[in-house]
Amino acid sequence: MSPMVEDIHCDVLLHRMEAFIDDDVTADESAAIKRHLEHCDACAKELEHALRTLAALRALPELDVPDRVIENARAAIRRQGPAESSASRTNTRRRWLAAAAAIVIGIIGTVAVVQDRTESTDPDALRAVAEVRFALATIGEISERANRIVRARIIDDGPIPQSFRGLARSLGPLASLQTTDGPHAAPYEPTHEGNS
Amino acid sequence: MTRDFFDAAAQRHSRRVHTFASYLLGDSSEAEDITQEVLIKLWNRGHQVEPDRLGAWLLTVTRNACTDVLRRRQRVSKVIPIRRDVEFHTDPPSPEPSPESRAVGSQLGTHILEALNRLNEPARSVVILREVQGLSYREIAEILQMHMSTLKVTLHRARRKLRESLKEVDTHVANG
Repeated sequence: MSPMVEDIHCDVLLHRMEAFIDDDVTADESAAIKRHLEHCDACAKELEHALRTLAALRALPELDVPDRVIENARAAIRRQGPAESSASRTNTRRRWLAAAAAIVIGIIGTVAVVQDRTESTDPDALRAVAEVRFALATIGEISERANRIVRARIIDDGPIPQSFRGLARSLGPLASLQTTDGPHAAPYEPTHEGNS
Repeated sequence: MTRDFFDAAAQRHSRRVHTFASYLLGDSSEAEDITQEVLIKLWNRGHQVEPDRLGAWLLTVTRNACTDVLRRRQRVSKVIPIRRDVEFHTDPPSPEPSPESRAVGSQLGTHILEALNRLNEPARSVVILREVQGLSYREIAEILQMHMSTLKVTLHRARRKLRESLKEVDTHVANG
């Protein structure tokens, strides 16, 4: 391979070959590359190889989806049933949030009360604080999503008094909440079972 | 989302989703699972997406699901070898190559799959979406959340890497 032919170096051409194939080079660069290819067999062969590789890549076929995949998806959607509809999910979430709110408020409230008593080094109060702190730490063990909801909906935006938020921070860094549920017209009931 | 809309969207997009997952994972069985998972997400969340963005959104969801699979594989790769068993159904290739290049393509096909599997992400996704599935740069940039300039550089580097990987095989093919 000659190192320099007609204004452009082989290394440069090899580096720019894909852009040249895609016609993603300037007119001047394209002309320089073409001039180089006329005189450099090695680069011309490299271009042929690049074009064959690209042709092989573009000849890879689109793949059919087996019928069972779509049927399985439909079956899974049917199994979600009405319980997975938006209204049901919202009601379930509200009930869960209400219960979680009660628990968290109760725990944090208890901590606030017993912390005042700990100043007198009352052993019962100290034990109570330890137990409540353990309970708070346990909240961190619930599922990640539930954890985020408790923190975002109840502690961040909820009815926790400002003075208790320092305790709430012991739950760890707060994560942003992203819900993905939305309205559904109805559970999936395909009209034609065998239709793919 | 109505069931008619779901059926129409599944009909229209599932093949593209399945093809993308199959080549990205190099495993048709896992690709079927991903396709099924994506269709369920289409039903659950497709109504939140603008209709003209649905195809791109589905491919983004597909890519994210495949990325999770690839990450899990990396964690267990020392004990479980990566499989490469993409099945070829007899369908016409996407662009229309000449008979000559198609013949060359079929000879290089298996080696191309192996070389694809050696590409890292996002290079592998870029090559599949652009060269195998024929998507525009704009569509790919949206699906992969990449700038156009980064996308082109990634594509060209990946093709150069494929070219290097296949040089020895191609020399045998070219010499007959």
